[in-house]
Amino acid sequence: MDIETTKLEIKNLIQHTIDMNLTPEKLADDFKIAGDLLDSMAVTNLILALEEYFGFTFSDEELSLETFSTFESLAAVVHKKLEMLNG
Amino acid sequence: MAEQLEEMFFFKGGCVDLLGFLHSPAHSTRTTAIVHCHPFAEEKNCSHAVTVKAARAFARQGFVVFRFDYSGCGDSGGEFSDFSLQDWIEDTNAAIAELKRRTRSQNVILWGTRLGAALALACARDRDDVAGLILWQPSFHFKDYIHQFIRQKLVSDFSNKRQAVSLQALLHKVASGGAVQVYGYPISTLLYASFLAMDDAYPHPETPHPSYIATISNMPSAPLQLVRDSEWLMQNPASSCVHIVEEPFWDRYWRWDAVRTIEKTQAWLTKIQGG
Amino acid sequence: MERTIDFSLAHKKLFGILHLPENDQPIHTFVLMIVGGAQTRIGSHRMYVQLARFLCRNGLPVMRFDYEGLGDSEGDFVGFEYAGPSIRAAVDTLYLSFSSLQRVVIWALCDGATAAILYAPSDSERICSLVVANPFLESETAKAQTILKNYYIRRLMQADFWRKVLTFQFSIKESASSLSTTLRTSAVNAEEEDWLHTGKSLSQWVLEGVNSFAKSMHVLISTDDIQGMLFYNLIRKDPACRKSIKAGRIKIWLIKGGDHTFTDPQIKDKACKKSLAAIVESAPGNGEQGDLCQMRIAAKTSLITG
Repeated sequence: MDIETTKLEIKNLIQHTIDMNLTPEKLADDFKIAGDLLDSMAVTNLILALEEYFGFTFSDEELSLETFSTFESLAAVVHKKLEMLNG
Repeated sequence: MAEQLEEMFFFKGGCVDLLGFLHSPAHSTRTTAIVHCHPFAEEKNCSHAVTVKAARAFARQGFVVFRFDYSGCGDSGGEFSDFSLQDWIEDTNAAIAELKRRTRSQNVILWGTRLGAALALACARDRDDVAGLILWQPSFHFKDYIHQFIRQKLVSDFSNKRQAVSLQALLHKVASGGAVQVYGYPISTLLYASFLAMDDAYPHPETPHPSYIATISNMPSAPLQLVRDSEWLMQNPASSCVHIVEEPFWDRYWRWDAVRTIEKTQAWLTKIQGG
Repeated sequence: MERTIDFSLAHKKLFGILHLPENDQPIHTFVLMIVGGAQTRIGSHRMYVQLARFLCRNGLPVMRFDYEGLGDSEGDFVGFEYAGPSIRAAVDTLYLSFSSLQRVVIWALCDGATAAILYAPSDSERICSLVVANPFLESETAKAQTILKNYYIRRLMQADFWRKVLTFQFSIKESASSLSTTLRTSAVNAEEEDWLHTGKSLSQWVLEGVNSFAKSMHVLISTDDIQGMLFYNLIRKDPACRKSIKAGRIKIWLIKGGDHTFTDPQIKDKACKKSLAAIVESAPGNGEQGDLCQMRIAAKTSLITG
C-alpha cells in the first residue's frame, strides 16, 4: 500500500469515528490534527480506531504531538508500522 | 408521560447511599425487570441521555427499569477514588435487592454499556435470578480497559501541548500508591488493582445467559476482537450479536438518541420476553 | 444530608438533588447550580457534585438540577436558550419548600452561566447574586476558535459546521497566530449573528443581562479557556461593565492555568474556594436589611397567589 492510500484510509477513519460530515476531501494533508482539528477526546477515539483497523498498537513513543501533527506525519508513522507488520 | 411513573431516591448500597432511579410502567404484568449498569468515568455522563431514552422505551414495553449510580459515581455517596470494581458489583446486588423490595419483580435482565456490560456479566455469574443480559459495546477485558483509559492521560497531555509521561511511568505510579488523574477522574491504586484482579476472578459460566450483544459504530462492520470475545455467549440459542451502524454515544457529548440501537434492543426483548 | 427533589414545569417532571447542611439553622440563602452544555447535574468529572458538597460542608444549602430535556428530567433537549422557565420553576420550588428562604445565589458554568445571566434580571428580587464560571458566547469568531479546541464541549449540528471550522483553520494558519495571541486579541465583533431572530447578537443580550442585573456578580475565568477569555474580554471592553467592575459590583477572579471545567484537582479546589468566598460575600448571613426582606415577602406572596 502506498502512503497516499494510507492517508486516505486515515481520513476515512476520521470521518467514521468522529463525524460523518467530515469527509476526506475536506481534510488537507497539512491540517494540524492534535490540539487543533481534534481535541484530545477525539484523538483518543482516532487512535483506538487506527489500532483496531490496522491491527497494530502504537508504542508510547509514537503517541506524540509529532506523530499526530499532520496527515503527512501520521501517515508516515502508520505506513512504517504497516511495513514492519507485513515484513 | 403519564404512562409511566418515574421516581428518584437514595437507597443503601454496599458501602454508601446510592442514587436510584425507577421507571415503573403504569400497566404491566411482567415480573422481569431491567437493571442498568452504567459505564466508567466520563462515559457515564456522555451516554446518560441515550440511557434515559432507552430506559423510557423499555418501560413503555412494560418493563420496570432501574438505573442507579455506583459508589463514588454520579449522585451516589463517596469519592470516585475510594472504591473498587468489587464494591460496584456489591452495589449492583444491593440495587437488585432494592428493586425487588419496591416492586414485584422476580427476575432481572442486566443491561450494561461498555465497562458496565462487563460488570453486569460478572454480577450475573453469581446470581440465579438473571433472565438475560443486554451488552452495549461491551469492554470485556478489565485490564485492557483500564490501560486504555490511563493512556488517555498521555494523549490529553500531548494534545494540550504539555509534557507527556509514558504509559509505563503512569502505570508504575498507579500501581505503587499514587493516583493518576485522567480527565479529572483520579485512578487510585485500589481501583486500578481491582481492574487487574477482575479478569481472572470471573471465568465464563458453563451455560451463558441469553445475551444481546450490540456493537455500535459508523463503520460497516463490528470490531473483530469484540465479535470473537462474544462467541461463548452465543452458545445460548436466545443470544444475539449484532453490529449497528449508528454514531457512538459514550465517547462524545451532544448525543441525545440512538434510535437503531434502542429499537433493535427492544425487538430482542420482545423475542425473549414476549410482546 | 442529601435529598432528592422533583418538581413540575408545564407537566414535565424535573429532577434535582438538595444538599442540606447538618445544622438546625433556618435556611436563608440557597445556592442553585445550573448545568452547562450537554452535561447533567453531576457535571464533568463530577465537578458539580464536589462543589455542592464542599459548599454544603461550609454551611450553604445547595440545589443541583437537570433543566428541561437534560439528565433525568423530562422533555426533549431545549438548550440554554430556553432554560429560563426551568430555572424559574427551580427557584419557585425552593421558595415553596423552605419558608425561611430569603435569597438565592446562582452558580453556573459554560452556557448554564449564559442562561443565568439572561435569566437573572427578570427575577432580581429573589436572585441576590450570580457566580458565573467561563460563560459561553456565540460569536462567529468565538465559535470557530472554541470549536477547534473544544469540539466535544459545544458541538453544533448544522450541515456546514465543518466547512466553517475548516475555513477558519485556514485563516489561523495563514495569519500564523499562536493560540496565546488569539486569546489576547480575541474580541466579540459587532457584526455578529442575529441570535434567535431577536435582532441582537447573543453577546449583546449577555451584556444587557450583566448590566441590567443590579446585584452582585462574580465571574470566574480560567486563563486557559477560550470561552472564558472571550467573556473576560467582552466585559472588560464594555463601558458600562467597566463602571460596574470599578464600583465593585462585578468582581472577576482569574483562575490561572484553569481549563473550561477546572479539570485539574488543584485548580478545581481553587475554583471551589473562590466560589465559596464569592457566595459568602454576596449573601451575608442573618443580618439582612428590612427593606430587602419586605421585597422578598412580596415576591413570595405573588408567587403563591399567582
